[in-house]
Amino acid sequence: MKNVFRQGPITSEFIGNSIQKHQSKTSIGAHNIFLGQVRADQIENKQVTAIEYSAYEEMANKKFHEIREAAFEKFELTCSHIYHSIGKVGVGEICLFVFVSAPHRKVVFDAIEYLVERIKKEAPVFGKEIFEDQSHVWKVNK
Amino acid sequence: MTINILYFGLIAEAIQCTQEKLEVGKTTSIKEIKKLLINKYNVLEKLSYQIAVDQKLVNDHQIISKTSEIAILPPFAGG
Repeated sequence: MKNVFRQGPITSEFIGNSIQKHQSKTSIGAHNIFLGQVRADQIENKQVTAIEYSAYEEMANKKFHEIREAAFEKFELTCSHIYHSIGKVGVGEICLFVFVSAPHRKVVFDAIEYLVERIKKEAPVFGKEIFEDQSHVWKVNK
Repeated sequence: MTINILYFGLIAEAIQCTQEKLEVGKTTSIKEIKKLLINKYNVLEKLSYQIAVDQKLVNDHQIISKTSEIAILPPFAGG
């Protein structure tokens, strides 16, 4: 089972390298990317400075695998990749990177939405929103 | 029989425990496990969570077996 989790933020260098790796796959005509970024939310007059992610990693990796497989069945994709942060990610940093590629553009728009929505809803990942004074609240996906 | 229970996120924080072994009857349903846990940790009554058995979400009627890994999962917050 592929491990989707990466320690800390997902860097723009990592994202750039992932794009570059696909240059040899010349049947691809369209990529689409979703990047989740940590927001500096205001909660009861306190500002979020980071989210610390934890997960039921074994189940989450199985779930990510299942979601990817379902996307391949549903859409005509050449490639699909998911990376999610584990541990602390500061505001403005990237915590989720979803990347799909296909011969033609139409499916990549639908596929990225399908993947991201299922990840948000089904992956057992938990996030602690940490404030400047080190107190915290637990985040819940809407 | 002895079952292995894992706790995550907000739930683990609230009960100050991430993993423990519990002694239960031979055929125990999730409903019974919930009752047992609420007895042990009153705070669970007020918290929202789902239960996974062997990494799959289950409902209250699911019966667990000796090899089951039980996980108590607070609301998801990925992405």
